[in-house]
Amino acid sequence: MNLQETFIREIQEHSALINKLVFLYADLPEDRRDLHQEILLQAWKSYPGFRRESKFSTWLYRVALNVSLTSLRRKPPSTHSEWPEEPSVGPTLEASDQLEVVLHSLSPLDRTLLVMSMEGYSQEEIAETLGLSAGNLRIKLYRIRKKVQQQWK
Amino acid sequence: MEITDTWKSRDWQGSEFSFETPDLKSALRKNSQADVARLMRKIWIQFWAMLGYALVSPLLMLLGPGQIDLAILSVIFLLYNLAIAAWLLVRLRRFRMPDMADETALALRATLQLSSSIRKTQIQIITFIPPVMFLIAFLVPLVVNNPEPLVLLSKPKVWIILSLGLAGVSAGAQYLGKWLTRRACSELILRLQGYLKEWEEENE
Repeated sequence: MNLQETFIREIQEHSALINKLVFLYADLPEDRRDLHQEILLQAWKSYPGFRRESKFSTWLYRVALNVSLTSLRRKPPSTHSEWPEEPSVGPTLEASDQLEVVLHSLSPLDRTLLVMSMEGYSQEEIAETLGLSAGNLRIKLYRIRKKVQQQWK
Repeated sequence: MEITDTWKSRDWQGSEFSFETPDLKSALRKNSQADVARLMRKIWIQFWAMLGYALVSPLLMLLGPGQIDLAILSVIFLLYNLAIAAWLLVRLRRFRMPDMADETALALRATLQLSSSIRKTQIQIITFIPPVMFLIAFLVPLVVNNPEPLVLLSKPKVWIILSLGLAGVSAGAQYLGKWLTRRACSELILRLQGYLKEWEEENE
């Protein structure tokens, strides 16, 4: 099996991971398709350099997250902070279920924090991936959960 | 939390995009073409950079007008940059890129060969030039400014400094060469090597 076939097989096995990030960071179907394609291409570009020091899923998560965040930052109106403070696009007609509505009411950083926490990542892993201090992360997670609990009712 | 259960119970595996493997393969091939173009662009940028350095090299003399060592240094820089720029130009002009669409593997191989030969020669030059410059920088002021250079050169202390300095500079230059090999477009080249391997395996 050559490199490309191995890559495609692994990507297909982990398509759920990409789908989750695409769901989180793009609202419109065409944006989702573009983001999906961009993640695949970026992962393919970086694949020869993947040394298998971490799990494929961890590596892919980082690549996909970087692509998603970069695509968010490219979206107008641009903000000067590294993370856009407000949700880039509010809940739209596409947001047909409660999960989508609640997640898209959060800022991209809060969304990522919540999802990583729901995915079972440890607080250390989340803090390291997102470049936050442990204290800041705990406070943020507490506030997000409180907000989500109120909205979920 | 209820939201966590909803998140986890959702069918994430079923892709709403349902990409087909052949489509993905074709997208990846297009990518390799873009990378070849990017590598060629980088080599051309290198050429223009060397030409630019050659043009600004005489400005070194402004640091100390009338100083012979600065004049020699700027001439060495000028010649070095001009030689590399001319050599790169010849290599690039002679290079004939096979058609990427029809002969992708051939085009990939040719681009990789060109880039590897350029890198190899540059590293050889980088390893060779600093010791020569060190010798010139050490010996010229000694001979020019000293009324009795032969007397000075007969002292063992001078030879010890010269040998140790030369050994240090040579080791440093070799390290610099290796460091540059690791840095220069290595990610791009690695990727192209990966594409080439696939093409060869697919067409075997």
